[in-house]
Amino acid sequence: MIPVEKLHQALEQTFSRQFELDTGADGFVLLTIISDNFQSFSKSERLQQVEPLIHKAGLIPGILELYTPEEAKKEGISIQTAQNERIPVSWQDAVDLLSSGKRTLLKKPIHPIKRVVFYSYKGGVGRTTALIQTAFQLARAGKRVAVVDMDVEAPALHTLLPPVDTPLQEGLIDYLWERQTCFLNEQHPAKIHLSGSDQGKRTGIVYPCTNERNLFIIPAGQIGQRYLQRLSVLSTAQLFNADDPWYQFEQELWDQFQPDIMLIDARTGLNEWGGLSLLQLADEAFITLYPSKQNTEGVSFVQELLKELNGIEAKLILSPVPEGIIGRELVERIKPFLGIKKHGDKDQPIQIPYHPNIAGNDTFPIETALPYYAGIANSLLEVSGVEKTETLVGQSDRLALVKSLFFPEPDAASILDVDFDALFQKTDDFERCLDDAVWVIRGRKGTGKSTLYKLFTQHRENAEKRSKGRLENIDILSAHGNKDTFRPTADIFAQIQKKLHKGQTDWLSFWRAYAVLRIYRSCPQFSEILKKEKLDPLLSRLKSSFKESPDTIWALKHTNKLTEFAVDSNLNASCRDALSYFNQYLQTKNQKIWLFYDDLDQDIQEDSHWQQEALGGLMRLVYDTNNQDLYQIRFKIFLREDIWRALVFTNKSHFGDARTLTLQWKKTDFFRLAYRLAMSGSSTFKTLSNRILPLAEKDLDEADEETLRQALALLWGLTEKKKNAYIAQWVYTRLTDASGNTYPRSLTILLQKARAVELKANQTNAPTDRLLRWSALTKGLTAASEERCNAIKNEYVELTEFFNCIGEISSLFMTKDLEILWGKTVKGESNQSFDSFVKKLENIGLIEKKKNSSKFDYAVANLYIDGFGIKRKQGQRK
Amino acid sequence: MEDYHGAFRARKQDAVALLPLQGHNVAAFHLGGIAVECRLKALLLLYHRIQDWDRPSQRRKDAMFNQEVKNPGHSLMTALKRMPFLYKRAKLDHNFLKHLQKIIHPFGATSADYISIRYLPQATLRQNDWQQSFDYVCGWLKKNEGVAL
Repeated sequence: MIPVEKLHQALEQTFSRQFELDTGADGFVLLTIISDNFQSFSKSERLQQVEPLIHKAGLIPGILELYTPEEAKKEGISIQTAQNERIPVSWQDAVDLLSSGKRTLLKKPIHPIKRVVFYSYKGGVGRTTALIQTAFQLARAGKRVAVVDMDVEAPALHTLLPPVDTPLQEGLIDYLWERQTCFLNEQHPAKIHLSGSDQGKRTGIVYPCTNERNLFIIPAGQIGQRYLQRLSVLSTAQLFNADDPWYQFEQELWDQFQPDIMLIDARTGLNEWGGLSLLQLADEAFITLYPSKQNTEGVSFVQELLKELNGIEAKLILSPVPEGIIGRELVERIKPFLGIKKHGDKDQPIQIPYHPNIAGNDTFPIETALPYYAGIANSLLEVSGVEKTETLVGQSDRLALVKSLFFPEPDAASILDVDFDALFQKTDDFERCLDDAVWVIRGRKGTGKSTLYKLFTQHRENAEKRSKGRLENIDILSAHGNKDTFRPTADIFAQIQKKLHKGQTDWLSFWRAYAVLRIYRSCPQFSEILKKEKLDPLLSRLKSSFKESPDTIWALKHTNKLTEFAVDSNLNASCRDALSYFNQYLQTKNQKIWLFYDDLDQDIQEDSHWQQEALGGLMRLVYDTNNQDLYQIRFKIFLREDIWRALVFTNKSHFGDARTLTLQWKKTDFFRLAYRLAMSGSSTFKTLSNRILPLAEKDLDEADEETLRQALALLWGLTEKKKNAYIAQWVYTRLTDASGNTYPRSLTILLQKARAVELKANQTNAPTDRLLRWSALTKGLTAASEERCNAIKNEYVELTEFFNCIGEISSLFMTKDLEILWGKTVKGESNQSFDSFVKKLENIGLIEKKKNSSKFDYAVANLYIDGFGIKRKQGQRK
Repeated sequence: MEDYHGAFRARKQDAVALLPLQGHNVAAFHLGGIAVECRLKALLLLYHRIQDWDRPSQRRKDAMFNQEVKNPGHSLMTALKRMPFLYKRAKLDHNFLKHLQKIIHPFGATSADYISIRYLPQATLRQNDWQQSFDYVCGWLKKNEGVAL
């Protein structure tokens, strides 16, 4: 207990409500007592009654006025006891209250709005962002939320969540000003209101958020001369008396909008408006601070004051916490100064990491960063940590939740630019993809090659965010692929092939010329280098045929010119020189360039006699460039797995594991994608999920299998009823082919179908702990299987007859069964042997060879069983 | 309505005139105290922008705005406290409080205050430090009178 409070209590016992106590500098007590106790006592006897109490409390007797009631009356002295408990209106006032040993009397308003104040001792730490993010989470969790801008000297809430209906005219300050200073009666009614409209235009100062109907914004006002003038005459001290402006505001807000929670953005520092919000209004408070020592003193003071005066335990938000070890150390170092135990204390601060999405954001909410703020919303929703899924689903409208689910298709073509960030699945392969030494990125159809190509060539900012600085000084350009419509495609390559053949030139020369052309069109410095190095014939041809300005249609003249570069030995030598000079130039600038090649499986005709030569030529260019020590120019070629396997070219042996990367979806990647798909499509689901297990993007990338299974439990449950097997595992197994590959698209199909089934299903016996029931998932799996089967039917047209009859064998079979079916269907269609046919099926991932000890020779991959209508043999894992 | 400011100047002159004279200490301290009292009352009315007692305070940005301002009588502390902004400054200056205490109780805390000393027979003891306190308090009030404006 602080000394003056001790004295206050002691005086209260003897001179209840008959004294006025205060302390000046250095504990100098200023005390006036009017009491019958002093009757017939001399001055020094009176002092003897009081001074020991002062000494006992550790204070110094200062100006002590000790009167009997008669004396006081005669002298015209009175004391003010009525205000023994009151509400502080400023920091100074709060400190005064404390120094006179008083407590605050928090006036209980008649409305039930919970006021939550977001305060920061210093600015620029993301206080307003935290407030807005929390507001969205609360609104999505079904609360009606009002956000109030009380950062009156630097109002900004209305610029972050702007009104779309009518431009901002007036705000809270104008409202309070009118209520406080203008004469209002029936003849002169108030003009500024919270809601209302005139000729279809909103005139009320409160406006709803455009993308969240449960969220209302109360701006401070429109900055300008009028705003400043009104603010300067507002008396903060007079905002809180009975019937005074603030209470009128709250009452009107409640009457017209019924918010459950009011989030108040408070002024920073120790000035009157900040004090007002925190000391006067806060039912709960969050203090945002950067974890450094310059904040701790102020924050601790404010925290203490709030606790001493109002009994409020403010929660701390550390923001933004730098990534990695630096951030962790910073936080640990700061904890003792904030009175937080190092570990295990239940009141650990909420940490918001530094995140480029937050830093560079201008629209709210920042979806990908919402989980960071879940802790704030959870504490307001009185959710202690992880709540039981069942209770939460039980409280929500389950059917509406299922309805809200929307699963976007995660293939490169359909991911819209805005969704990319939320949906891109960074697999473990991503890191390796950043390796200079990786030249070929291979994978089956649907393993995300094109997504990677798109990420690097068209969403560089997103790629950078995920590469932790490894893309610095690297220019990425699409050397071939769908980023640019100005490119030779399938039949043009056939023409090129003829011309090369006629000119007796190989594909290596062509790819070199093509790379020069691409660099010329993308790098302005390249022309300078060609000019400087006197490669004029090449430069003039490039200029005349391939202007830097974006030509969009690839025409015959382009084909002719490009092949001329390849066929003409002088020009081709110039191309070779140009690349060398360019490499030199890049070296001096410490720059690198990466050339990306995609869509080669479509544009270089498959199974044509020249496919091998063409692709081999490109590989030789890569190898040749490396041998020439042109290390500043690097290649990344995306190629379908089976094409790569069949490809034969000189030096293929140099393209070992270090040079090629096989894209594969691991189990955890698969779970992550499922989670991302569910989260990105439905904000309702996301909010609920964040209440159970908030996973931010970064956490998600690092989450282990167990965490991911838990995170997905809300979607499809953790285990099947009364069984131990995990649903997530089961879904994964069923969507995996014989070579251990899963396909992102299958997952979407599964989820879309399961949602549709769930919506039609009987809701009375719906499970309460998950949104998609077992039977819905089963149907979804069948749909996903059918889609996959159709995909391979389209991909391997030559096997159509075989696929049509494949239902005749069962899911586990002997070699001879397959041979019979082969003989009946596709044997005669080519001169392929049975062995190579089996090999092909294995390569496709359709069948898998069983171990020697097994009763059967082969098994059909789970993924394809339902889709092809194959009979499931007992004993095979479901 | 009393002319507190005029009274302050007159009583201050009285006190200053009496002080050097042998055997007039009590009168000097008494009148000096009244001078400070008048000074504070003049400031109090000015502070609240009112002409007379028992009127509501017209000082907008003050905790006492719209409350009736009562005559503080002979309590110098009450007069000070009724001017919250001035009082805040006073509380922070330990010297001021110490000297004000001297003006209120010229012969020590256990003795009578500046009003009640009028019933004391003449004290022979000289109180050199009283003048210091008087100068400090008057000087301090002069320096801080801007707060009342």
